[in-house]
Amino acid sequence: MFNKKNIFWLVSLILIFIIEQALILRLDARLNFWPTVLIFTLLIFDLKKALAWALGAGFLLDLYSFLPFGSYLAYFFLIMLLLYFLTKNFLTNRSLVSLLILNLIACASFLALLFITEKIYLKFLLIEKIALYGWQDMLIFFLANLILTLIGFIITLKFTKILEVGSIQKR
Amino acid sequence: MSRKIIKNEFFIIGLIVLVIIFLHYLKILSPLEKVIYWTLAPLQITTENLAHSANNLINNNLIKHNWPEENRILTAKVETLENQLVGLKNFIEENQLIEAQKQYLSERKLNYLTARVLGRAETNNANILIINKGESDGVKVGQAVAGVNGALLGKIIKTESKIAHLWLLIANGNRFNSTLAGNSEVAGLAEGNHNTSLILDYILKNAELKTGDLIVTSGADALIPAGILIGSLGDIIDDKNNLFKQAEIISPVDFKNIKIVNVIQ
Repeated sequence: MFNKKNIFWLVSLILIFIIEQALILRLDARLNFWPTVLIFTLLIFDLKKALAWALGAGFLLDLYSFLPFGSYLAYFFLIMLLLYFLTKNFLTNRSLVSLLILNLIACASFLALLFITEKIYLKFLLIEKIALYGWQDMLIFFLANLILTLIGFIITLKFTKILEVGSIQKR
Repeated sequence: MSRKIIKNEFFIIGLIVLVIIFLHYLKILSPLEKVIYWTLAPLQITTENLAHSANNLINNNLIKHNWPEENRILTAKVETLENQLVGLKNFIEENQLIEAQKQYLSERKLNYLTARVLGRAETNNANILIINKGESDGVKVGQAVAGVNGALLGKIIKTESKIAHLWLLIANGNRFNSTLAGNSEVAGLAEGNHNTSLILDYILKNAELKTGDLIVTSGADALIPAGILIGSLGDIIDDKNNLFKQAEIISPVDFKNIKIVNVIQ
């Protein structure tokens, strides 16, 4: 149960949660890197572990979120479903372009889900405006995620064999 | 086909997501959640401090100083702080009000629930206030609500799970059985007058009362205990053509400025 891979899975979950939520988002709320993180979990772990990772991250986020419990669990589940479908059927080659397109789709889905939640909140629960960004904030959010994907792509290519052709075929 | 679906990872995870949400709302997950809060707290505090230091570092060293801009920002900050000061003064005032009310009600040995006024109801009749306690806190329709120094404010007319509607004493049609403090034989009906003031009506002609006498609840209304202060008597009207006497009641409550209330249970 506590083999190296599982420990890496758990530590990465807690560390990324802490770093993203308490450090990066504290510096600038637009630097929300969860869509990029989800893409890389799908690359690094096998499908079961990646889904469990998304589930764990969603659960932790829901515990601290002002949104109704279950929002992030649902967001992450749906985004993973979409990403998996795209990586299996359309963007199969793990090139930089594929990753960037995946990232754009993941970011757009994340914002769309936040937008829908806000609308429901305003309509039924009479809670004030929550997480929606303006156009400039959205641009920064997309650019930040694209840059992180680029950096992640270079690091992964340099230090791991995940993106090599043989590795993709095996997976 | 159905076996394939059941073995599908997304089906399983989707099911787990639903179960987690369900268990959370049933409060079954709360021990686990408490453990997570407790475990992650030190890490979060450390990271938060780190973020604070990083913020300071970025602001102090890496960003070029633009003095006119900083002056503008600091002026805006002073304005914000002045606003916050006003907010704090209000907070202190509210705390003093709560303390005074608590002391009064504790001395009277009444059970009460302190609530905050959220606003006024959307009706044209502005004498209905919304408070932030409701059915789930034990608030019931008909309960009395007291304000400054325990004086009666009105009664609850509608409850939701987390809020309740308070009908103010001065509202037209709002009535309370009342008596003279210390003399329950002198009774009448305290009621709202033109949505602005109070009168004591249906006082027997032979009843002895004078300006300045205190009027309290009689205890005849269900859920409203006897002896809650309504106000003191003002002018007394004894019209020969009328079967009863009437008197003005002067309430110690400023009905336009109510922030904290106590629901008497």
